[in-house]
Amino acid sequence: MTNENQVVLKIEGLHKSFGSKHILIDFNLELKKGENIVVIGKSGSGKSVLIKCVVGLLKPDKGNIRIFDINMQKLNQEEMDRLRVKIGFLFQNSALYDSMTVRENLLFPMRRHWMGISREEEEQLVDEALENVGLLHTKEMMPAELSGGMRKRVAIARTLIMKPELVLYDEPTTGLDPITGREIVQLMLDLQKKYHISSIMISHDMTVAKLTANKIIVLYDGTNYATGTYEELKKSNDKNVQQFFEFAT
Amino acid sequence: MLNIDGMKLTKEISDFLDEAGQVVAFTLRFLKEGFKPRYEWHEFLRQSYINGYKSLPLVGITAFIMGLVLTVQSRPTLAEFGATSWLPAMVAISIVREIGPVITALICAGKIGSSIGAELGSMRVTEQIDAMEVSGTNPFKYLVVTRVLSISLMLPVLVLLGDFIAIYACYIGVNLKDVVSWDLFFNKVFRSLRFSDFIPSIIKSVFFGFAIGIVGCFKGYNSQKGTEGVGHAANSAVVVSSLIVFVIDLIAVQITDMLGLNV
Repeated sequence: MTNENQVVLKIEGLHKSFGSKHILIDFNLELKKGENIVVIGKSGSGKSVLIKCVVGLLKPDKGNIRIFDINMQKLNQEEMDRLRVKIGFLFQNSALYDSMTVRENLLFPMRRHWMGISREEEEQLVDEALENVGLLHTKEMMPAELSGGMRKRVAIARTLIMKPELVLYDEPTTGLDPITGREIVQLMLDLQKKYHISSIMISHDMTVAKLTANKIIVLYDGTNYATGTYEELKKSNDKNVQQFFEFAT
Repeated sequence: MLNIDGMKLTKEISDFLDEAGQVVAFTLRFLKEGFKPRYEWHEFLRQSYINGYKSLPLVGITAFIMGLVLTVQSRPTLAEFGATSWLPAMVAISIVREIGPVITALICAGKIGSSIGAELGSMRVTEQIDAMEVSGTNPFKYLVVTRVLSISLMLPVLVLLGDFIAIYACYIGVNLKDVVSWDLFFNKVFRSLRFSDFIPSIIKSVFFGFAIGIVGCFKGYNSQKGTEGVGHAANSAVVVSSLIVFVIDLIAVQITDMLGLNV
């Protein structure tokens, strides 16, 4: 049963500092099922810190993060690991495991969470995931043999193989040429539609936001400075918002 | 100036104590997670192959040279006292009790410690460890437990093999100047060695391996500051684990002495 109004992720009053530097100050966000929110901000504005707090890689100083109505801060390690199966995370630099083949990269999380499935089923899931990103022929290749765009596609396949309900994308098009970047964005949209995934995407590129976002949040000075659709924000007279549209195509 | 130096010294001491505390916490985490399922058998076997089998040529060559050089160097002194017949026994006891385990551990600290520090360090800076964590798997179990266990078990095996290679090299060394049959040599060596010479050597090798594994993994797993941090992790893994090998050896000698095993 899918409920469009079901809140997948709710962040309330999130604070995070490193020493005396305040990165996030009273940050709030609500993501509903099937929704795609793009958090946009300049380099060093705390975008990656935000999603690392969401997935538990960083501990917030203050505030609440609820995923599927579960308070993240109250979970022990085992409960956290079980919840993380429902969350996908795409790293900015792909973070493929260098010492494993593409196939082993995809099998790694699966073998540790879905212990009941047979080898044949495992292979089928790997093939399906690689087919989705058009890279079935790279199955036995090492990550070092792949181009940047291919690594990103494999990383998407690895993220989605566990059928997550929420995916966090950390600058998915950074370091890619515009054409490959566009292909990756389209691929993400197609797969999100296919598997009914909700997502938060971190970006500094308004063009990516235009293509993917139901809602855009401008992160500025650690707060959600402005929120709205692409069209709404485009009409804004605020110079801190407008600067992101200058290079948008 | 004195004040500034004093502050710097205080900070260095506090940093050292802080890191020592973190190593203790890391070791306790290993003991807690090491024996809980799920067991990463496949990775453990892979690491044992890399740390054990792949280190064997280096350990073997070093042991051979060590045994040969020790024999050739010791012979003139023993010859002065007309005691060259003691050469096999003397070399065998020195190798089994002390030189074999320590030299093998130092070689492994250099080869294995640095490679673990660099491998885990680069996995940390390229977010591969974070990727394992966010996928809900336990990177500590997969990366740290398997490596520490494999080195702790493989090092005693390497030490034993190294000991036998060094003793064989001693046989060749003895035969460079004298003519001694293998049977006579073997007899002389094993009449001087007791089973109790091997036990402390094997036990301390397990601790050497454990220290090399824990230090290498700790340095790599907590590596920071990009590629510079990876280099630092590899380097300090070798330096610190080599130092710990000597400290463990010192403690082991005191214990065997107290137990009367050094006679």
